[in-house]
Amino acid sequence: MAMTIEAEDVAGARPVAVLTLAGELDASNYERLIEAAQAAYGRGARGLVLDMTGLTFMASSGLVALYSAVRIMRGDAPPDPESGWGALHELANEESTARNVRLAGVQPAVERVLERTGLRRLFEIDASSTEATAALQGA
Amino acid sequence: MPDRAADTGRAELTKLLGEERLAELVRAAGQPEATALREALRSIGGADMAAAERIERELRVAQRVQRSLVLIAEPALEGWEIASDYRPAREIGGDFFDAYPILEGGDARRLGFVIADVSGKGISAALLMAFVRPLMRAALDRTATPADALERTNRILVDERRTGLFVTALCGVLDIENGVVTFANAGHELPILVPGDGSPIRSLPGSGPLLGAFGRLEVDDVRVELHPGDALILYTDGITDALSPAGARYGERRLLDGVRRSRPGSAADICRGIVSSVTRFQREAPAADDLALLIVRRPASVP
Repeated sequence: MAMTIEAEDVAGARPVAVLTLAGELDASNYERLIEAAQAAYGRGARGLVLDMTGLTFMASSGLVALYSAVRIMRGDAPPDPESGWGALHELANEESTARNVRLAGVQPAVERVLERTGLRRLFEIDASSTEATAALQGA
Repeated sequence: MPDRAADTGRAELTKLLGEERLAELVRAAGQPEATALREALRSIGGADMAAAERIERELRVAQRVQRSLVLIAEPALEGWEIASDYRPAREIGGDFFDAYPILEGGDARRLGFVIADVSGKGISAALLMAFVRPLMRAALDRTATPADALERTNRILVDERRTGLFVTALCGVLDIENGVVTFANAGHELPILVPGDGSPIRSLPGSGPLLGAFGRLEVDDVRVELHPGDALILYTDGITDALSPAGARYGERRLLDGVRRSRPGSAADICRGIVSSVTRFQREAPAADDLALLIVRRPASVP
């Protein structure tokens, strides 16, 4: 149903934004996540942590938002869900460059969707947003 | 129902006003989006209303065409029962299924079947569905195994038809003489096996990535034998993601529990049981997603 998104910016050599998601990510709200990622990029973030500790459910439309977030953090325009696939398989062909978005605290229900659809391979998953942020700011 | 005007209106208004201005208007109106859109559409005036009405009419035609594409003539195969249901969340949707005899030298010894879900709803999903459905049927007809059929469909989607949508699909072949099912799964919900002998209901694992996303699927064929009394349930996430008015999801557990209680029944009984359970659960809440269901059952005793 409802999903809340809280944004926090972490300064550093590589500015990182942490978006803390809580509730359920589905067709009614996935566009808000895309907007939040865009806003973070606009504030200068070049790495993104999606803290999913409080996210209890993700519908397949959530995958579109996660994938869009990767594109946005690469500096690309977010994909128009009504148009091209092109970008996704470009992304798939260079999976290592997709590592500018990390997921933290992924709950089993969400991980199952990522596993089942094969999109798990696009993301690094960390136990906490602190670890994910540190990894992005890359010691 | 009233949402159709809003959906039509949204596209039209975006064209007229641009995304930002439209979002502003909707916010300023302080009303649910659908209401705000309808009001805005009304205020634009006669000429555009006529355009909106024309689009609505065409949508209704599209809806009929799309339903006729999805609904299958459930093939009559001696010793087998097939049942299906389909409920789009909006007027037209992106879920589909297929079940048809594979003809070899005039005999139908095998049944091909598919269930798939194009992510997203509405016209773009329906159009992609209309493209993918015959593609899957042709691929399944011509390839040695379901995994090859998915691989071939994926390659076409990746190389030639790039859309912004995700497609999960499961396809398989049933040997109607010995009951052996071979299937492969590209990111779709796991099928449910309901044994007729009373042993536990279970989901059948084995899944690769969804279609269109990666150059190679590398998905495996899964083999399972349907004994007399066994049923195989294929479904889309419109069932498990269905929302109650209080905001609960129907979920896999309710689905499995419902099926457990309903057996042993015919394929049509199982199908009706699932749909009415989901409908009761949703009550007046709007459907979150398309819902599609395909059941293949080998009756316990062949009359």
